[in-house]
Amino acid sequence: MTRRVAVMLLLAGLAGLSGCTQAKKTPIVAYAAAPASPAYSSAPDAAAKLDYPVESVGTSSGQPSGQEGFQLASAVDSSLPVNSRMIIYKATLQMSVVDIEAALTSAQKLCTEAGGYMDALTSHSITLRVPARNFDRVLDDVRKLGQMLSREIRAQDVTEEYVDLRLRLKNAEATRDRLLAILEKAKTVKETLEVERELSRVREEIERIKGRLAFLERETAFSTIHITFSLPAPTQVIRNRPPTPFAWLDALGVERVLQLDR
Amino acid sequence: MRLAKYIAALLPAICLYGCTGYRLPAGYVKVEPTYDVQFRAVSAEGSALTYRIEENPENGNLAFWEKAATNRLVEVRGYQLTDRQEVRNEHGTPGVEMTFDYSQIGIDYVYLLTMFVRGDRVHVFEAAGPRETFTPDLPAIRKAIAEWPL
Repeated sequence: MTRRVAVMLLLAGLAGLSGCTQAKKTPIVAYAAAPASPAYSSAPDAAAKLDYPVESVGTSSGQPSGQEGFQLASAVDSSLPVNSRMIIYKATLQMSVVDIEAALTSAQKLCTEAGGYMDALTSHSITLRVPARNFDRVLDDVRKLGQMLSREIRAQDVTEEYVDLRLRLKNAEATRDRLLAILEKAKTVKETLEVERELSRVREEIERIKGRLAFLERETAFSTIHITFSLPAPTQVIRNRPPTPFAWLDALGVERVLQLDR
Repeated sequence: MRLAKYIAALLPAICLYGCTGYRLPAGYVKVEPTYDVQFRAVSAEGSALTYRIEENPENGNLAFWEKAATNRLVEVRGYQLTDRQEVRNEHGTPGVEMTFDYSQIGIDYVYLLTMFVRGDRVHVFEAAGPRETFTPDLPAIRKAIAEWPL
């Protein structure tokens, strides 16, 4: 009897592998759920350009908003609509402003107005999470807060990982269902324990995959903008130029005339 | 020689003393100057006009100072030069007037820089304010600068 259960478990595992192979042979229909920033999305219809085929997993209901994205993340299922690349955007800015407190407040306001939220705040820096679709707009607005000293924007394409995880999730769920069917047929305590042990392992794998999918959906739905503000130094430069002996030239400008730096 | 140095040091003060012929732009009041400017006036909106006198070294001319100021403001500080014109004040002294755009904390500023060179002195007028409230002041400021006794 034990041997029979072992054989069934083996078959269940093989069936899982087989399902995986079949899935890879199924043509792509759609994938990826979270919205990407239009200006930075290099291939909005890149589904058909993937190197490997992906199984269709449901119908699209449009791009999720930030909150929707979070809800999706907490309840990943195989029917998630997918229709564009999954890209995580992160911007790191260094800006010079005459009033750091005012700049922090303005940045937070811009973020809130764009449907985002503040992720972290210090006395001179702020981390914003904004819906990916508003990433460009918020960046444009933020640059008006002061003088941009440096800007770094990183885009991480996680489409492949996401698609792979979705496949693994589907296969793990299929394995779980088969194990449940086997469990129903188990006749001895030993058989039951063996199947349940395997079932527990598969369930853990499903939860782990769902967690990672949720993370990717959250990260792609909301872009991160980290801004560090500093006060302008009297000799602060945008481009390095040799100093002149005429110090008063460096005192020219709006800041001194209007005493913005007082 | 020592007397010449004293005179040179006192020249700005002497000049300011003599600068009683200036006229404030309409809507501006004279306030205590700060930093190293010799004159400062502000509007109720917070726009301001300042005047300073700097030493003009040997061979210095208007073209030199225009280039030097533009270089610092545009290349180093990120200002945008939007207009430039050669001017002449009411006393016939040639000068140059440059207008710049500058943004800070979401506010767009207009910055007007006018320079005249007379002998060993550079006369520098700076005026600035938020675009919306400062732009209507420009004619009065230009008039005041043109009439300023250098």
